[in-house]
Amino acid sequence: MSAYKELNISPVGRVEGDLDVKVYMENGVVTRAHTQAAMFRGFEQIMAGKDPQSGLIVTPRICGICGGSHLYCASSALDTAWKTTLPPNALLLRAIGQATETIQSIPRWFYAIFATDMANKKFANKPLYDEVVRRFSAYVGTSFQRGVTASGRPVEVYALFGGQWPHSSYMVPGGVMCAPTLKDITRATAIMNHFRNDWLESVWLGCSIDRYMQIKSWEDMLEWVDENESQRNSDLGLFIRASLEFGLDTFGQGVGKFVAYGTYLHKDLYNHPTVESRQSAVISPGGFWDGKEFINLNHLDITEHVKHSWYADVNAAHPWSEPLPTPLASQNLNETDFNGKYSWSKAPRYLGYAAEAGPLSRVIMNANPANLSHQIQDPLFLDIMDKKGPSVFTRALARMHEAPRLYTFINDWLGQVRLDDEFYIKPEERDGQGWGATEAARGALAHWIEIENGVIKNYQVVAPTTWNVGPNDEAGNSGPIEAALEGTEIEDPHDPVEVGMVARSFDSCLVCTVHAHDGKSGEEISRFKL
Amino acid sequence: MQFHKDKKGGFLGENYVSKGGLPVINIPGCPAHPDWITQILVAIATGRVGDVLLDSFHRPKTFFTDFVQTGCPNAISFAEKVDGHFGKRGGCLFYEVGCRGPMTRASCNRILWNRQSSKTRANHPCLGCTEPGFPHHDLVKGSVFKSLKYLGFLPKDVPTGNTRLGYYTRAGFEKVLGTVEKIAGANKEHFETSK
Repeated sequence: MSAYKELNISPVGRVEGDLDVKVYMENGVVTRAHTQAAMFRGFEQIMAGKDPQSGLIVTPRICGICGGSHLYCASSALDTAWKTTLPPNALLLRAIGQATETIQSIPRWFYAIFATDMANKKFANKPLYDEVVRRFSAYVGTSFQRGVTASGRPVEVYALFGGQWPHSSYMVPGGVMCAPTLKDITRATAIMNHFRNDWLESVWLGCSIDRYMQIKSWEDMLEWVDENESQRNSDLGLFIRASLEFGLDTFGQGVGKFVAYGTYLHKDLYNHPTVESRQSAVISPGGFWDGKEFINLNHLDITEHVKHSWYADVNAAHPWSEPLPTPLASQNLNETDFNGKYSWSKAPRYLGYAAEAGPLSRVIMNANPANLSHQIQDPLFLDIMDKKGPSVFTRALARMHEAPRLYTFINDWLGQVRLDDEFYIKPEERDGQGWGATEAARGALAHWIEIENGVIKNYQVVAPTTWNVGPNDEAGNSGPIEAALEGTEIEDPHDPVEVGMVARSFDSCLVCTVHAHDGKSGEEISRFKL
Repeated sequence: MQFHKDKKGGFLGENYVSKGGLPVINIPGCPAHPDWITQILVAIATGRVGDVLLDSFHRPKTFFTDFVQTGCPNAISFAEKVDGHFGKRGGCLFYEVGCRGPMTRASCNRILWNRQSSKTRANHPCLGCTEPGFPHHDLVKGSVFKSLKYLGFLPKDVPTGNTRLGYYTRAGFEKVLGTVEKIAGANKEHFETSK
């Protein structure tokens, strides 16, 4: 007999935000899924008619954990609109800010958001379960506290240059506000060294960064795990072995198309910022990968759809061409008609396709053979995609794979800051259009601005979570998380941990969607409703 | 909850007190410093609520009596009327780029952020996020990272506790005297800072 069940799971995010998921399942398999961003925030409306630099103050506050990424975009959007000149020191200090924010998110996400699900009773019959529980259980796991504590260190470096994390506005058109001293550089280097010694090499890798960076294929990765006890028993070694044993590599595939804007503008290649020259100036490359071919990123190929979003209908349009959104009446999850409008998130599309944003997209772009000499060249994840394909495991591994490289980048960039040189060149204000983009920890983030008569006429933010949690588009195609949930087998509908793991593998931090809102108390965290 | 901007009232009303006999304690800031939140919770949990004095906006006085300027390394430049700017070491950000350190009550420069620094220590103007009305001047054209001017050259916002006339007179006197001293050969290098 076919058992038809409807599950409403709310909320899915562990940190903050409101992502509601409605999945329909038959015989224990998800047949249809809808994601609902349940709150309207209106950050774009706030800025209409205001000072052109308002985005530097307002947009970092869109998200408590991606504020530096929003700032990177807001300052870049103004740089391109005002045609500023950026000194190398400014590009380095902005990149350091972006990289420290991303690297702090890596252990925080792994221990506080993701790995606690691996300690779920669903896996209790697996041989590695006891060890996973011992290390990764929420709050009491032996690695939990170490990982979460380590995650607080890189943002100390951000604070040295930005004053505080989160919610600094230190990146401004024309450069950065700070003019660091020898003391700041030395202390920043020492803090990152602690991060490496206290967690990255000792707890996470069980080997040196150099040894880990030699891994170029899935076979290399498996050999690395078995090379010695230190690597086998490191948190990464355990994570890989347990993931394969628990089957985390078997579900959560997604749409199979990936988008990244790339980030870390090279200190000598973006001194005269333009929209057109951006993609060849980034160190972490951008692009679109459709499962077979790499396509160069062109921001003009992005459109946003609102057919299934609670905004007045307009045709799918590029952010420069779309009006500020007009909010309509929304419904709660139970009363929502999913054939109509059902989310506060818009549905961004690249060349018309839903695309996954995030670390997995980035590491796939790293494997593009056409990458330039100053860009990352790392074939590993094209090989993993070929041999394993996308899954909860692949997505999590991609996120963690970035930590050693980011550590190396931050260390190198600190060494390149020239204390005698400029940090800021005062720009001239002017009207015009601008585009600023980056890779936030959770994926492609961009701001589009239009300035007219010295005030903001239009401001559009497309966040990585908009890409990932977006609803159906005009043609009825699912968003990436919706697609990733379809086909997922749910063992216990009273505790559908699989759905949570898929959503969390995207690091879906709803507070990062422009059109959503944070606001659930910590008590409701694990209350799954049926 | 008990205020709308700087007006008492709000959702819970002017005279609200909880079952425990306490009014709303406002911990302002965008974001609030974790110490501000946790220390007040600890005070309540450990029976020290009597030591939590509240100001007229119901902010705990222990954190929100001093100004952001207290502990700012550029306080001497403020006194000497030496301008600072982005990308430059030393100088006060009040005069040109809109620093609100002298009108914002918060302990940012006493307890520091992320155990390391603060906005003004990193040459970042204070935005006044612990005061009602943030973001100030409603982000109107010309108000972001620029000091709004009165008569084209006098700062429109003056340090708390000063009348405009009083501040302009004192500051003008200080500035003139400083210039005269410099001409007379006085060494003013003490407000400069090195790489």
